[in-house]
Amino acid sequence: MDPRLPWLHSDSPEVLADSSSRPFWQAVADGHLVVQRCDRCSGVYFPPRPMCPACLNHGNLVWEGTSRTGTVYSFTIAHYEMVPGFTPPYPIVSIDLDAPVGARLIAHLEGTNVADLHIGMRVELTAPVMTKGAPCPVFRAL
Amino acid sequence: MVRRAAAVMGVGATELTRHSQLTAADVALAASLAALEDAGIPAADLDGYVGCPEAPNPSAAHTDGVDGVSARFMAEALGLRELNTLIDLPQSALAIGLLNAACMAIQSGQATRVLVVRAMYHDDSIAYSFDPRRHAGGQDQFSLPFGLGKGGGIQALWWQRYLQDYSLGEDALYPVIENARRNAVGNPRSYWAGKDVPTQDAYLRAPYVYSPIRVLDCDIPVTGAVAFVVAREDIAKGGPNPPAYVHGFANRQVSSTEKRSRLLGASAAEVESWQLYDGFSVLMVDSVERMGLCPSGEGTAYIKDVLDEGRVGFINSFGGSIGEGRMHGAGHLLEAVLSISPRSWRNRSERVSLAAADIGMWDHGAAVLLGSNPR
Repeated sequence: MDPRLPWLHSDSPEVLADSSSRPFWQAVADGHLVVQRCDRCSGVYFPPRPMCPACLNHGNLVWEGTSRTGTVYSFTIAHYEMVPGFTPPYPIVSIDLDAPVGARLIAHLEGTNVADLHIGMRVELTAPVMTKGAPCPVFRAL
Repeated sequence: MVRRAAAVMGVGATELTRHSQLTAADVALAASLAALEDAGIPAADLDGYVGCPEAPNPSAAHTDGVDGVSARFMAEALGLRELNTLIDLPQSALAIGLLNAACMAIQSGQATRVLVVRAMYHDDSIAYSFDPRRHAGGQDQFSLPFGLGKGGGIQALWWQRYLQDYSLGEDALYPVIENARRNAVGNPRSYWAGKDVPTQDAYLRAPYVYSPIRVLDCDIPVTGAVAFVVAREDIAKGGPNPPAYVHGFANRQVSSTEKRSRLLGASAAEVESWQLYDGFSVLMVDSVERMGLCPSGEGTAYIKDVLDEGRVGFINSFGGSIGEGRMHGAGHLLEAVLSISPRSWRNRSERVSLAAADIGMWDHGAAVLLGSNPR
Protein backbone atom coordinates (compact mmCIF):
# COMPACT_ATOMS: atom_id res chain seq x y z
CA MET A 1 0.00 0.00 0.00
CA ASP A 2 2.69 2.45 1.05
CA PRO A 3 6.22 1.13 0.50
CA ARG A 4 7.42 3.00 3.58
CA LEU A 5 5.23 0.81 5.79
CA PRO A 6 5.31 -2.66 4.22
CA TRP A 7 3.44 -4.25 7.16
CA LEU A 8 0.37 -2.05 6.63
CA HIS A 9 -2.36 -3.16 4.25
CA SER A 10 -5.48 -1.62 2.81
CA ASP A 11 -7.84 -3.44 5.19
CA SER A 12 -6.43 -1.79 8.33
CA PRO A 13 -9.04 -0.19 10.65
CA GLU A 14 -10.57 2.98 9.23
CA VAL A 15 -10.60 6.10 11.33
CA LEU A 16 -14.14 7.20 12.23
CA ALA A 17 -13.58 10.91 12.85
CA ASP A 18 -16.05 12.79 15.05
CA SER A 19 -16.69 16.38 16.07
CA SER A 20 -13.91 16.20 18.70
CA SER A 21 -11.28 14.67 16.43
CA ARG A 22 -12.02 16.04 12.98
CA PRO A 23 -9.62 19.01 13.29
CA PHE A 24 -6.79 16.62 14.16
CA TRP A 25 -7.37 14.37 11.15
CA GLN A 26 -7.76 17.40 8.87
CA ALA A 27 -4.42 18.71 10.08
CA VAL A 28 -2.78 15.34 9.41
CA ALA A 29 -4.17 15.39 5.88
CA ASP A 30 -2.73 18.91 5.47
CA GLY A 31 0.67 17.65 6.54
CA HIS A 32 0.93 18.91 10.13
CA LEU A 33 -0.27 18.10 13.66
CA VAL A 34 -2.50 19.89 16.16
CA VAL A 35 -3.38 19.21 19.77
CA GLN A 36 -5.86 20.83 22.14
CA ARG A 37 -5.05 23.55 24.62
CA CYS A 38 -7.43 24.83 27.27
CA ASP A 39 -7.84 28.53 26.72
CA ARG A 40 -8.41 29.07 30.46
CA CYS A 41 -5.68 27.07 32.21
CA SER A 42 -3.39 26.28 29.25
CA GLY A 43 -3.51 22.52 29.79
CA VAL A 44 -2.41 20.56 26.70
CA TYR A 45 -4.39 17.49 25.70
CA PHE A 46 -4.14 14.67 23.23
CA PRO A 47 -6.15 12.55 22.36
CA PRO A 48 -8.91 15.14 22.00
CA ARG A 49 -11.31 15.73 24.87
CA PRO A 50 -14.69 17.42 25.11
CA MET A 51 -13.59 19.49 28.10
CA CYS A 52 -10.61 20.32 30.29
CA PRO A 53 -10.46 17.94 33.29
CA ALA A 54 -8.30 20.38 35.25
CA CYS A 55 -10.53 23.48 35.20
CA LEU A 56 -13.77 22.05 33.74
CA ASN A 57 -13.63 24.39 30.74
CA HIS A 58 -16.27 22.88 28.50
CA GLY A 59 -16.31 23.64 24.80
CA ASN A 60 -13.36 26.02 24.76
CA LEU A 61 -10.42 23.77 24.05
CA VAL A 62 -8.59 25.34 21.10
CA TRP A 63 -6.47 23.56 18.56
CA GLU A 64 -2.82 24.52 18.48
CA GLY A 65 -0.13 23.58 15.98
CA THR A 66 2.73 21.43 17.20
CA SER A 67 6.37 21.03 16.33
CA ARG A 68 7.22 18.52 13.62
CA THR A 69 9.90 16.91 15.76
CA GLY A 70 9.79 14.83 18.86
CA THR A 71 11.29 12.01 20.88
CA VAL A 72 10.24 8.39 21.17
CA TYR A 73 8.66 8.07 24.65
CA SER A 74 8.05 4.35 24.27
CA PHE A 75 7.65 1.71 21.63
CA THR A 76 6.72 -1.89 21.06
CA ILE A 77 7.11 -4.38 18.27
CA ALA A 78 3.94 -6.34 17.56
CA HIS A 79 4.68 -9.99 16.87
CA TYR A 80 1.17 -11.37 16.55
CA GLU A 81 -1.75 -10.49 14.32
CA MET A 82 -3.94 -8.51 16.69
CA VAL A 83 -5.52 -6.00 14.31
CA PRO A 84 -6.68 -6.44 10.67
CA GLY A 85 -4.40 -5.13 7.98
CA PHE A 86 -1.12 -5.42 9.89
CA THR A 87 1.41 -8.15 9.18
CA PRO A 88 3.77 -8.63 12.11
CA PRO A 89 6.40 -7.81 13.05
CA TYR A 90 5.83 -4.07 12.99
CA PRO A 91 6.70 -1.14 15.24
CA ILE A 92 4.31 1.04 17.23
CA VAL A 93 5.74 4.25 18.68
CA SER A 94 4.52 6.69 21.29
CA ILE A 95 6.08 10.07 20.59
CA ASP A 96 6.51 13.12 22.81
CA LEU A 97 6.38 16.14 20.53
CA ASP A 98 8.91 18.88 21.26
CA ALA A 99 6.13 21.43 21.50
CA PRO A 100 3.80 21.96 23.12
CA VAL A 101 5.02 20.04 26.16
CA GLY A 102 2.54 17.35 27.04
CA ALA A 103 1.61 16.45 23.48
CA ARG A 104 2.11 12.70 23.06
CA LEU A 105 0.67 10.49 20.36
CA ILE A 106 0.84 7.03 18.82
CA ALA A 107 2.07 7.12 15.25
CA HIS A 108 3.57 5.06 12.45
CA LEU A 109 7.34 4.88 12.12
CA GLU A 110 9.03 4.39 8.78
CA GLY A 111 12.49 3.35 7.82
CA THR A 112 13.97 2.22 11.15
CA ASN A 113 15.25 -1.27 11.80
CA VAL A 114 13.51 -2.62 14.88
CA ALA A 115 16.90 -3.36 16.40
CA ASP A 116 17.73 0.37 16.23
CA LEU A 117 14.46 1.56 17.74
CA HIS A 118 14.96 2.99 21.22
CA ILE A 119 13.41 5.31 23.78
CA GLY A 120 14.83 8.79 23.32
CA MET A 121 15.26 8.42 19.58
CA ARG A 122 14.70 11.72 17.81
CA VAL A 123 12.03 11.67 15.11
CA GLU A 124 10.35 14.03 12.68
CA LEU A 125 6.97 14.10 10.99
CA THR A 126 6.98 12.98 7.40
CA ALA A 127 4.24 12.55 4.82
CA PRO A 128 1.10 10.88 6.19
CA VAL A 129 0.13 7.42 5.01
CA MET A 130 -3.08 7.42 2.98
CA THR A 131 -5.48 4.88 4.46
CA LYS A 132 -9.15 4.22 3.72
CA GLY A 133 -10.45 6.29 6.64
CA ALA A 134 -8.07 9.16 7.06
CA PRO A 135 -4.40 9.92 6.39
CA CYS A 136 -2.42 8.82 9.43
CA PRO A 137 0.74 10.47 10.83
CA VAL A 138 4.09 8.91 10.04
CA PHE A 139 7.43 9.75 11.63
CA ARG A 140 10.98 8.85 10.71
CA ALA A 141 14.26 8.95 12.60
CA LEU A 142 16.07 12.26 12.47
CA MET B 1 -30.77 -3.06 64.79
CA VAL B 2 -29.07 -5.62 62.57
CA ARG B 3 -25.61 -4.62 61.32
CA ARG B 4 -25.73 -4.56 57.55
CA ALA B 5 -22.12 -5.50 56.88
CA ALA B 6 -21.53 -8.25 54.32
CA ALA B 7 -19.61 -11.50 54.37
CA VAL B 8 -18.90 -14.26 51.89
CA MET B 9 -20.94 -17.24 53.02
CA GLY B 10 -20.40 -19.66 50.16
CA VAL B 11 -18.17 -20.21 47.15
CA GLY B 12 -18.30 -22.41 44.09
CA ALA B 13 -15.78 -22.82 41.31
CA THR B 14 -15.55 -25.03 38.25
CA GLU B 15 -12.43 -26.51 36.76
CA LEU B 16 -10.74 -24.38 34.11
CA THR B 17 -10.63 -25.86 30.62
CA ARG B 18 -9.69 -24.84 27.11
CA HIS B 19 -11.18 -27.44 24.81
CA SER B 20 -14.24 -28.60 26.64
CA GLN B 21 -17.12 -27.35 24.46
CA LEU B 22 -18.75 -26.00 27.62
CA THR B 23 -20.56 -22.68 27.38
CA ALA B 24 -20.38 -19.80 29.83
CA ALA B 25 -23.87 -20.84 30.97
CA ASP B 26 -22.71 -24.39 31.70
CA VAL B 27 -19.94 -23.24 34.00
CA ALA B 28 -21.83 -20.29 35.50
CA LEU B 29 -24.69 -22.50 36.58
CA ALA B 30 -22.39 -25.23 37.87
CA ALA B 31 -20.45 -22.71 39.96
CA SER B 32 -23.68 -21.12 41.21
CA LEU B 33 -25.16 -24.41 42.34
CA ALA B 34 -21.89 -25.29 44.04
CA ALA B 35 -21.83 -21.93 45.84
CA LEU B 36 -25.42 -22.35 47.04
CA GLU B 37 -24.66 -25.84 48.33
CA ASP B 38 -21.49 -24.54 49.98
CA ALA B 39 -23.48 -21.76 51.63
CA GLY B 40 -26.14 -24.20 52.73
CA ILE B 41 -29.03 -22.14 51.33
CA PRO B 42 -31.57 -22.86 48.62
CA ALA B 43 -31.69 -20.71 45.48
CA ALA B 44 -35.09 -19.43 46.57
CA ASP B 45 -33.45 -17.64 49.50
CA LEU B 46 -31.47 -15.37 47.19
CA ASP B 47 -32.74 -11.82 46.87
CA GLY B 48 -29.88 -10.48 44.78
CA TYR B 49 -27.76 -11.32 41.78
CA VAL B 50 -24.69 -9.50 40.45
CA GLY B 51 -22.75 -10.64 37.42
CA CYS B 52 -20.97 -9.66 34.24
CA PRO B 53 -22.54 -10.61 30.91
CA GLU B 54 -19.56 -9.50 28.85
CA ALA B 55 -16.67 -11.56 27.58
CA PRO B 56 -13.68 -9.19 27.70
CA ASN B 57 -11.88 -10.26 24.53
CA PRO B 58 -12.24 -8.05 21.44
CA SER B 59 -13.09 -11.08 19.29
CA ALA B 60 -16.06 -12.07 21.46
CA ALA B 61 -19.41 -12.69 19.76
CA HIS B 62 -21.24 -11.49 22.89
CA THR B 63 -23.93 -14.18 22.79
CA ASP B 64 -25.86 -14.45 26.04
CA GLY B 65 -25.50 -17.92 27.48
CA VAL B 66 -22.61 -18.84 25.22
CA ASP B 67 -19.65 -16.55 25.89
CA GLY B 68 -21.24 -14.67 28.76
CA VAL B 69 -24.29 -14.79 31.01
CA SER B 70 -26.58 -11.87 31.79
CA ALA B 71 -28.33 -11.38 35.12
CA ARG B 72 -31.62 -12.01 33.39
CA PHE B 73 -30.36 -15.25 31.86
CA MET B 74 -29.11 -16.48 35.22
CA ALA B 75 -32.30 -15.50 37.08
CA GLU B 76 -34.36 -17.39 34.49
CA ALA B 77 -32.07 -20.42 34.46
CA LEU B 78 -31.91 -20.71 38.25
CA GLY B 79 -35.61 -20.00 38.66
CA LEU B 80 -34.86 -17.00 40.83
CA ARG B 81 -37.93 -15.02 41.88
CA GLU B 82 -38.36 -12.05 44.20
CA LEU B 83 -34.90 -10.71 43.48
CA ASN B 84 -34.61 -7.13 44.68
CA THR B 85 -31.17 -6.67 43.16
CA LEU B 86 -30.34 -7.71 39.60
CA ILE B 87 -27.17 -6.11 38.32
CA ASP B 88 -25.13 -6.60 35.17
CA LEU B 89 -21.76 -4.87 35.22
CA PRO B 90 -19.45 -4.41 32.20
CA GLN B 91 -16.27 -6.43 31.92
CA SER B 92 -14.31 -3.33 32.91
CA ALA B 93 -15.73 -3.67 36.41
CA LEU B 94 -13.55 -6.76 36.83
CA ALA B 95 -14.55 -9.17 39.54
CA ILE B 96 -13.98 -6.62 42.30
CA GLY B 97 -16.78 -4.45 40.94
CA LEU B 98 -19.17 -7.38 41.20
CA LEU B 99 -18.36 -8.04 44.86
CA ASN B 100 -18.52 -4.31 45.56
CA ALA B 101 -22.02 -4.04 44.08
CA ALA B 102 -23.24 -7.04 46.07
CA CYS B 103 -21.90 -5.54 49.29
CA MET B 104 -23.52 -2.17 48.52
CA ALA B 105 -26.86 -3.92 47.97
CA ILE B 106 -26.54 -5.63 51.34
CA GLN B 107 -25.29 -2.56 53.17
CA SER B 108 -28.15 -0.48 51.78
CA GLY B 109 -30.67 -3.02 53.02
CA GLN B 110 -31.80 -3.76 49.47
CA ALA B 111 -30.74 -7.41 49.66
CA THR B 112 -29.60 -9.97 52.21
CA ARG B 113 -28.25 -12.89 50.16
CA VAL B 114 -26.63 -12.05 46.81
CA LEU B 115 -25.26 -14.49 44.26
CA VAL B 116 -22.17 -13.08 42.51
CA VAL B 117 -20.99 -14.88 39.38
CA ARG B 118 -18.15 -14.43 36.90
CA ALA B 119 -17.98 -16.86 34.00
CA MET B 120 -15.18 -16.77 31.47
CA TYR B 121 -15.21 -18.45 28.07
CA HIS B 122 -12.63 -19.74 25.65
CA ASP B 123 -13.44 -20.90 22.15
CA ASP B 124 -10.97 -22.85 20.02
CA SER B 125 -12.38 -21.35 16.85
CA ILE B 126 -11.47 -17.72 17.53
CA ALA B 127 -8.19 -15.90 17.98
CA TYR B 128 -8.87 -14.64 21.50
CA SER B 129 -6.99 -11.34 21.44
CA PHE B 130 -7.55 -10.45 17.78
CA ASP B 131 -9.63 -7.30 17.40
CA PRO B 132 -11.62 -7.78 14.18
CA ARG B 133 -13.06 -4.27 14.04
CA ARG B 134 -12.62 -2.56 10.70
CA HIS B 135 -13.50 0.87 12.08
CA ALA B 136 -11.81 2.81 14.83
CA GLY B 137 -14.04 5.36 16.56
CA GLY B 138 -13.83 7.21 19.84
CA GLN B 139 -10.54 6.75 21.64
CA ASP B 140 -9.69 3.80 19.38
CA GLN B 141 -9.04 6.31 16.57
CA PHE B 142 -5.63 6.94 18.10
CA SER B 143 -4.49 3.36 18.58
CA LEU B 144 -6.19 0.82 16.30
CA PRO B 145 -5.24 2.43 12.97
CA PHE B 146 -1.62 2.16 14.14
CA GLY B 147 -1.88 -1.53 14.89
CA LEU B 148 -2.13 -1.08 18.66
CA GLY B 149 -4.79 -3.56 19.69
CA LYS B 150 -5.66 -5.39 22.87
CA GLY B 151 -3.75 -8.40 24.11
CA GLY B 152 -0.85 -6.54 25.64
CA GLY B 153 -0.12 -3.54 23.42
CA ILE B 154 -0.75 -0.83 25.99
CA GLN B 155 0.90 -2.90 28.68
CA ALA B 156 3.93 -3.31 26.44
CA LEU B 157 4.29 0.44 25.91
CA TRP B 158 4.06 0.98 29.67
CA TRP B 159 6.51 -1.77 30.51
CA GLN B 160 9.04 -0.74 27.86
CA ARG B 161 9.13 2.72 29.44
CA TYR B 162 9.26 1.29 32.99
CA LEU B 163 12.35 -0.82 32.12
CA GLN B 164 14.03 2.30 30.77
CA ASP B 165 13.04 4.59 33.65
CA TYR B 166 14.27 2.17 36.30
CA SER B 167 17.24 0.75 34.37
CA LEU B 168 15.99 -2.83 34.41
CA GLY B 169 16.54 -5.71 32.04
CA GLU B 170 13.79 -7.98 30.81
CA ASP B 171 14.90 -10.63 33.31
CA ALA B 172 13.52 -8.37 36.07
CA LEU B 173 10.03 -9.69 35.39
CA TYR B 174 10.93 -13.35 35.87
CA PRO B 175 10.17 -13.40 39.65
CA VAL B 176 6.55 -12.53 38.83
CA ILE B 177 6.29 -15.56 36.55
CA GLU B 178 8.17 -17.74 39.02
CA ASN B 179 5.84 -16.68 41.85
CA ALA B 180 2.80 -17.40 39.70
CA ARG B 181 3.85 -20.81 38.49
CA ARG B 182 5.26 -21.98 41.83
CA ASN B 183 1.99 -21.09 43.54
CA ALA B 184 0.03 -22.75 40.76
CA VAL B 185 1.58 -26.10 41.70
CA GLY B 186 -0.55 -26.27 44.87
CA ASN B 187 -3.76 -25.12 43.18
CA PRO B 188 -5.64 -28.13 41.84
CA ARG B 189 -7.82 -25.94 39.60
CA SER B 190 -4.89 -24.21 37.94
CA TYR B 191 -4.58 -24.77 34.21
CA TRP B 192 -0.84 -25.18 34.83
CA ALA B 193 -1.18 -27.62 37.74
CA GLY B 194 1.38 -30.38 37.44
CA LYS B 195 3.44 -28.49 34.87
CA ASP B 196 7.05 -27.50 35.53
CA VAL B 197 7.78 -23.97 36.60
CA PRO B 198 9.49 -22.24 33.66
CA THR B 199 13.13 -21.37 34.27
CA GLN B 200 14.34 -17.82 33.77
CA ASP B 201 16.05 -19.01 30.61
CA ALA B 202 12.81 -20.47 29.29
CA TYR B 203 10.99 -17.25 30.15
CA LEU B 204 13.51 -15.14 28.26
CA ARG B 205 13.19 -17.46 25.25
CA ALA B 206 9.38 -17.30 25.23
CA PRO B 207 8.02 -15.53 22.14
CA TYR B 208 7.03 -11.88 22.31
CA VAL B 209 3.42 -10.85 21.86
CA TYR B 210 4.08 -7.10 21.90
CA SER B 211 7.70 -6.67 22.97
CA PRO B 212 8.77 -6.74 25.75
CA ILE B 213 5.56 -8.57 26.82
CA ARG B 214 5.94 -12.30 26.17
CA VAL B 215 3.44 -15.13 25.88
CA LEU B 216 4.29 -16.15 29.46
CA ASP B 217 3.36 -12.63 30.63
CA CYS B 218 -0.24 -13.15 29.49
CA ASP B 219 -2.91 -15.14 31.32
CA ILE B 220 -4.19 -18.10 29.32
CA PRO B 221 -7.85 -17.87 28.24
CA VAL B 222 -10.00 -20.60 29.77
CA THR B 223 -13.63 -21.58 30.24
CA GLY B 224 -14.61 -21.59 33.86
CA ALA B 225 -16.65 -19.82 36.50
CA VAL B 226 -16.51 -18.70 40.10
CA ALA B 227 -19.56 -17.90 42.20
CA PHE B 228 -19.98 -16.38 45.64
CA VAL B 229 -22.93 -16.21 47.98
CA VAL B 230 -22.50 -12.87 49.72
CA ALA B 231 -24.79 -12.39 52.67
CA ARG B 232 -25.56 -10.04 55.51
CA GLU B 233 -23.15 -10.78 58.32
CA ASP B 234 -25.65 -12.28 60.74
CA ILE B 235 -26.96 -14.60 58.04
CA ALA B 236 -23.45 -15.64 57.00
CA LYS B 237 -22.62 -16.49 60.60
CA GLY B 238 -25.39 -19.09 60.57
CA GLY B 239 -23.90 -20.88 57.53
CA PRO B 240 -21.77 -24.01 57.48
CA ASN B 241 -18.45 -22.22 56.80
CA PRO B 242 -16.57 -19.58 58.75
CA PRO B 243 -17.52 -16.38 56.92
CA ALA B 244 -15.01 -14.18 55.15
CA TYR B 245 -16.12 -10.79 56.45
CA VAL B 246 -15.88 -7.85 54.06
CA HIS B 247 -14.10 -5.04 55.88
CA GLY B 248 -13.93 -2.42 53.15
CA PHE B 249 -13.17 -1.38 49.59
CA ALA B 250 -10.75 1.25 48.33
CA ASN B 251 -10.95 2.42 44.72
CA ARG B 252 -7.66 2.90 42.91
CA GLN B 253 -8.57 6.54 42.40
CA VAL B 254 -7.92 6.98 46.12
CA SER B 255 -4.32 8.08 46.11
CA SER B 256 -3.79 8.80 49.80
CA THR B 257 -2.29 5.83 51.66
CA GLU B 258 -3.98 6.96 54.87
CA LYS B 259 -7.38 7.20 53.21
CA ARG B 260 -6.96 3.83 51.51
CA SER B 261 -6.10 2.16 54.81
CA ARG B 262 -9.07 3.80 56.49
CA LEU B 263 -11.45 2.68 53.75
CA LEU B 264 -10.11 -0.86 53.70
CA GLY B 265 -9.93 -1.14 57.47
CA ALA B 266 -6.21 -1.92 57.80
CA SER B 267 -2.84 -0.70 56.64
CA ALA B 268 -0.84 -2.57 54.02
CA ALA B 269 1.53 -3.76 56.75
CA GLU B 270 -1.33 -5.51 58.58
CA VAL B 271 -2.47 -7.50 55.56
CA GLU B 272 -1.25 -11.09 55.79
CA SER B 273 -2.08 -12.28 52.29
CA TRP B 274 -2.36 -10.41 48.97
CA GLN B 275 -4.07 -11.41 45.76
CA LEU B 276 -2.93 -8.93 43.11
CA TYR B 277 -4.41 -8.86 39.64
CA ASP B 278 -2.01 -10.11 37.00
CA GLY B 279 -3.98 -10.51 33.78
CA PHE B 280 -0.66 -9.34 32.39
CA SER B 281 2.32 -10.05 34.65
CA VAL B 282 3.43 -6.41 34.61
CA LEU B 283 0.21 -5.29 36.28
CA MET B 284 1.29 -7.07 39.45
CA VAL B 285 4.44 -4.95 39.53
CA ASP B 286 2.30 -1.82 39.41
CA SER B 287 0.02 -3.24 42.07
CA VAL B 288 2.67 -3.92 44.72
CA GLU B 289 3.87 -0.34 44.30
CA ARG B 290 0.35 1.10 44.25
CA MET B 291 -0.63 -0.76 47.43
CA GLY B 292 2.37 0.73 49.20
CA LEU B 293 4.27 -2.53 49.63
CA CYS B 294 7.36 -0.97 48.07
CA PRO B 295 8.49 2.29 46.44
CA SER B 296 7.95 3.05 42.75
CA GLY B 297 10.40 1.23 40.53
CA GLU B 298 11.12 -1.50 43.09
CA GLY B 299 8.17 -3.78 42.37
CA THR B 300 10.13 -6.56 40.68
CA ALA B 301 12.86 -6.47 43.33
CA TYR B 302 10.18 -6.65 46.03
CA ILE B 303 8.56 -9.71 44.47
CA LYS B 304 11.98 -11.34 44.13
CA ASP B 305 12.70 -10.63 47.80
CA VAL B 306 9.38 -12.23 48.79
CA LEU B 307 10.45 -15.39 46.98
CA ASP B 308 14.02 -15.30 48.29
CA GLU B 309 12.67 -14.98 51.84
CA GLY B 310 10.66 -18.17 51.35
CA ARG B 311 7.30 -16.40 51.39
CA VAL B 312 6.05 -17.80 48.10
CA GLY B 313 2.44 -17.88 49.35
CA PHE B 314 2.34 -14.21 50.39
CA ILE B 315 1.26 -12.91 47.01
CA ASN B 316 -1.12 -14.74 44.67
CA SER B 317 -1.04 -17.96 46.64
CA PHE B 318 -3.20 -19.64 44.00
CA GLY B 319 -0.94 -18.65 41.14
CA GLY B 320 -2.74 -15.50 40.04
CA SER B 321 -4.19 -15.21 36.57
CA ILE B 322 -0.78 -16.04 35.13
CA GLY B 323 -0.57 -19.22 37.17
CA GLU B 324 -4.21 -20.29 37.17
CA GLY B 325 -5.89 -19.02 34.04
CA ARG B 326 -7.81 -15.99 32.84
CA MET B 327 -10.61 -15.33 35.32
CA HIS B 328 -10.49 -11.52 35.26
CA GLY B 329 -9.95 -11.26 39.00
CA ALA B 330 -12.53 -13.81 40.10
CA GLY B 331 -9.75 -16.26 40.98
CA HIS B 332 -8.10 -13.58 43.11
CA LEU B 333 -11.29 -12.90 45.05
CA LEU B 334 -11.87 -16.61 45.51
CA GLU B 335 -8.40 -17.15 46.91
CA ALA B 336 -8.78 -14.16 49.23
CA VAL B 337 -11.93 -15.81 50.63
CA LEU B 338 -10.25 -19.21 50.87
CA SER B 339 -7.23 -17.79 52.65
CA ILE B 340 -9.65 -16.71 55.42
CA SER B 341 -11.92 -19.75 55.22
CA PRO B 342 -10.44 -22.73 53.36
CA ARG B 343 -12.49 -25.53 51.85
CA SER B 344 -11.46 -29.18 51.57
CA TRP B 345 -10.99 -28.90 47.81
CA ARG B 346 -8.67 -25.95 48.32
CA ASN B 347 -6.90 -27.23 51.33
CA ARG B 348 -4.59 -24.39 52.16
CA SER B 349 -1.97 -25.11 54.75
CA GLU B 350 -2.19 -21.59 56.10
CA ARG B 351 -5.15 -19.49 57.16
CA VAL B 352 -4.92 -15.76 57.69
CA SER B 353 -6.98 -13.19 59.57
CA LEU B 354 -6.69 -10.34 57.05
CA ALA B 355 -6.57 -10.97 53.31
CA ALA B 356 -6.63 -8.36 50.55
CA ALA B 357 -7.38 -8.57 46.85
CA ASP B 358 -6.43 -5.69 44.59
CA ILE B 359 -7.83 -5.96 41.11
CA GLY B 360 -7.40 -3.42 38.36
CA MET B 361 -5.17 -1.83 35.80
CA TRP B 362 -3.22 1.29 36.77
CA ASP B 363 -5.67 3.84 38.13
CA HIS B 364 -8.75 1.79 37.32
CA GLY B 365 -9.97 -0.84 39.78
CA ALA B 366 -10.26 -1.39 43.51
CA ALA B 367 -9.02 -3.34 46.50
CA VAL B 368 -11.04 -5.21 49.11
CA LEU B 369 -10.04 -6.35 52.58
CA LEU B 370 -11.54 -9.54 54.02
CA GLY B 371 -11.20 -10.68 57.61
CA SER B 372 -11.82 -13.76 59.75
CA ASN B 373 -13.70 -11.51 62.18
CA PRO B 374 -16.19 -8.74 61.56
CA ARG B 375 -14.66 -5.28 61.12
